[in-house]
Amino acid sequence: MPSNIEYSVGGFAPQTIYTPRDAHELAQILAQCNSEKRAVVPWGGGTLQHLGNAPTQFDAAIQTANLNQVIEYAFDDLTATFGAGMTLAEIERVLNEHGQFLPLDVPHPERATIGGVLASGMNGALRLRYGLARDYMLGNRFATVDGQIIKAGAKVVKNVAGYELHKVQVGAFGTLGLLTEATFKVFPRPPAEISAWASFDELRDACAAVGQVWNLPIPPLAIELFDARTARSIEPNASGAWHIAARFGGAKAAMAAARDVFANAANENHARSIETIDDATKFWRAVADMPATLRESFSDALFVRVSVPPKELQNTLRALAENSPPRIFAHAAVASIYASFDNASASPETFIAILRARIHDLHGHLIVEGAPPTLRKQINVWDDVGASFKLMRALKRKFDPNNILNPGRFAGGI
Amino acid sequence: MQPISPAIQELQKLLGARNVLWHPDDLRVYSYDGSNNMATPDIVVLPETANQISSIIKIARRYSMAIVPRGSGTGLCGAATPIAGGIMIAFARMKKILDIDLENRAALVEPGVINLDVSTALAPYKYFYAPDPSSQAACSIGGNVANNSGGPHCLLYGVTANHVLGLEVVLEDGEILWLGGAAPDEQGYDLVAAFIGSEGTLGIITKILVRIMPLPEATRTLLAVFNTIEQASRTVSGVIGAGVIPAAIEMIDGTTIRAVEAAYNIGLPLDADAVLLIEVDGSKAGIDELQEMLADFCQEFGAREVRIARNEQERADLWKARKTALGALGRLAPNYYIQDGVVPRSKLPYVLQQQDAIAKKYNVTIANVLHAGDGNLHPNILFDAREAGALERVKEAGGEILKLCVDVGGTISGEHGVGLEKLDYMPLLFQQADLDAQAKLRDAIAPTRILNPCKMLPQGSKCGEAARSKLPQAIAGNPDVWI
Ligand SMILES: Cc1cc2nc3c(=O)[nH]c(=O)nc-3n(C[C@H](O)[C@H](O)[C@H](O)COP(=O)(O)OP(=O)(O)OC[C@H]3O[C@@H](n4cnc5c(N)ncnc54)[C@H](O)[C@@H]3O)c2cc1C
Repeated sequence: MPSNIEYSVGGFAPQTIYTPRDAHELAQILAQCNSEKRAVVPWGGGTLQHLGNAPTQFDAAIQTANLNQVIEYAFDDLTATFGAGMTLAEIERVLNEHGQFLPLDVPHPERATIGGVLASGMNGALRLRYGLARDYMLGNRFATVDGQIIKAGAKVVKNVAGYELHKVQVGAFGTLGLLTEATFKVFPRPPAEISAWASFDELRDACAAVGQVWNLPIPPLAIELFDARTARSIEPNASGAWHIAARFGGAKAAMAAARDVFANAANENHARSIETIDDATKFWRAVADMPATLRESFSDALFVRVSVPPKELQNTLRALAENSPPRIFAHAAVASIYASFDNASASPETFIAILRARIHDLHGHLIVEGAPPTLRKQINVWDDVGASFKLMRALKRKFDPNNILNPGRFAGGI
Repeated sequence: MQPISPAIQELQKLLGARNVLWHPDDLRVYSYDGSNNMATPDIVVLPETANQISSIIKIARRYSMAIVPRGSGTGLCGAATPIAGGIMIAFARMKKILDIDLENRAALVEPGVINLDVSTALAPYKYFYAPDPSSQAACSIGGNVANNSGGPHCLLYGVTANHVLGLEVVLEDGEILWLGGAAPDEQGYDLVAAFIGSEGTLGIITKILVRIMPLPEATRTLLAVFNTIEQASRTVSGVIGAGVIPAAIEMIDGTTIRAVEAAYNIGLPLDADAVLLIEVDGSKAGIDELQEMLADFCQEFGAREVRIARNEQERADLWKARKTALGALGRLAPNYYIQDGVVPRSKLPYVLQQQDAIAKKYNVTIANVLHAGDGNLHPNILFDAREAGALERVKEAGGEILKLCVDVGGTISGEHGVGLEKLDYMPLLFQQADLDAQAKLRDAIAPTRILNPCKMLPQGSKCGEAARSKLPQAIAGNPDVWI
């Protein structure tokens, strides 16, 4: 029997923890909670429950642990359907048997479930080449508060029959329904890979190198950027103020060329050192875990995620470092930046407000993903949602009129 | 001549008389798209700005008229057919490429911009816009977004939905909103995803921020000739199953080959039963190996001949067989009814065989043009609309083909959309509860159904007439409506 404390969110522990046997039972439990107006937090592996506001009410957690089956895997069609409770590590094992994979390189794969990762909109370094989960998710099923299991999308690689309701579930934090399964286009592993690392003294040079590497004729799968402290946590010998790592995949013949063009791009931007990464598997595992590593290792820090248009990468990093330089880890080419501030606690509200104003000027937004509990209560973890919020609220009312699904946790207080 | 109605007068005042069409002669060209459907709008307007569109919608509401956006009218599902009449918004005066932003890999365009014009404008910078419907010389980006269009190169690059970063939309209450943008991971629900493929039912798209990409350094194009369609379709599933993803794998069948030859004399063998067109692109390093591997695949699966383009001219020549296909079919019959089902790629051989049986059963000729790499079938059922009962027979055969696609785990439309054509087939794919959930999405965003009524979700065959009389009530009496 799991202890209810393990299932607490923002200091709330639920009264009841349900672990339904299957999707059908899950839908029934959800309908029952709805009729009793008991608030539900959907629960996968619990690895991303730190995201969002604390729920305004939390009566029951619904565990998807038993929805952990491979529902269909047509490896020769490169499509697969997984139960929402399957962990990413298990999915990886299944696909790997056929040399295939799902490009969702997120933290804690041995616990994170596919349902939870989809609901939170989590993504990793490989998004540069493969896009977001919603780009290669072909369809899904989700349970609604009235106890139905809704099918949306399809199981083939192209489909335009009906509204893209399945995509709206991605990143919706389970506030519209509970995912029970999802179908993906999966990818063949590149026949060969090479990864390389370059170190720089100047931020300007590192950012210019990111732009140049992104435009190489051999398109990289990922380009990541690290400040000195974060870099040393995965490459202890790294020296220099800023570091980039790039990952390439493709035909064997292209990989030696990739190493060369990467080195040229780095050299042209005054890299102080360039190296091939030997144990790339271990390295990219550490990179995928980085958002969790940063948040968990510095739990007193203020941990934020900043999204800006790609060309504002350098300006954004400068804006973030104006007072006390944070630890930085970024999916550099897409300009999705994680920053961890050691001492922001003096006046967190003002601190965040000033940062947000700067980021808004750069046409981006800032979300708080981690903060000590006392501090967290004083700040809004979500940024302004803007005028489209009225549509979001209307959607929420249609799908969850009693407001029992993760109430209050999502953007705009949904 | 009909008297000029107050609605027309208001629109004329807003847009100028030359931008408001109402004379029956002027309306005729707007009464159909690329499908076999027809209905005439009451008024066609040619706005230039989102603000004007916002005002048009407010006028439409006051007179309880439906609003139907129309791009280039190349759509194949009747989505741009004004079945409940009303005001049609055409985008002939909204065709500007507003910004090309290489650093953000984005271009901001108006909805009336022709798909190919975007890539042409990007070519000097060595960039391109990836989704390339075969109609790309005519269709609009607004239409592409509304239909979530695909194209030959979507096998590698993905469909329109994978290439839209942001949208400016006008809602049914006249509000102008931005969704998404150049910064990643917008907060809140993914409304950009909701609007893509919504066939003009959720809002009018007035600006599109599209993702652009650097042109690949190298391209190789192969054309493989097969004696049987079975061999060709096995090659396709063999290539995909081996984990090789070319940029495009297109197929045309024997009937199409002979039509193309008769029309354009490209030099394809008349006794062949299938031709595959395969393209790979990427960096120069490694591309020759890839080409060789694909040529070997084709041989292994029984190709009797593999042609490889040695230069850009030869590449264009090889593509000609595919690109001229639909036009050439006009030589075989005055009309065609094109289907758009998708099946798992491994099921292609079986499905094409079964489709043959259906053609025999209904005594129709089918010419196949496929985005084969995606398992996306385009059977063109040839017929003569003047022949009594022909269209009915053709539609029945079409319905059976769609059922076949769904039965093997596929879908009823891969890229052309639901519109009016596929409404009746939505229940093959979805239960009523699934359709109701989709209706909730629509009703959350556009509750009055004044925007492109009767499309996407089945609402009964009388929807058009019903919508004409019910719109006033819907607009006045809906608690969800904000004005
Ligand atoms: C020869 C031929 C080949 C084709 N090949 C392909 C192919 O390879 N792949 C493919 O996917 N399709 C293909 N099509 C179908 C068609 O070209 C596409 O669906 C295309 O996207 C339609 O664009 P359009 O501008 O003509 O839109 P229209 O047909 O005018 O409209 C299509 C839909 O978009 C809506 N719409 C248009 N503009 C807006 C706007 N600004 N805001 C909101 N809604 C709007 C309309 O209401 C309608 O619902 C082909 C068609 C032909 C005739």
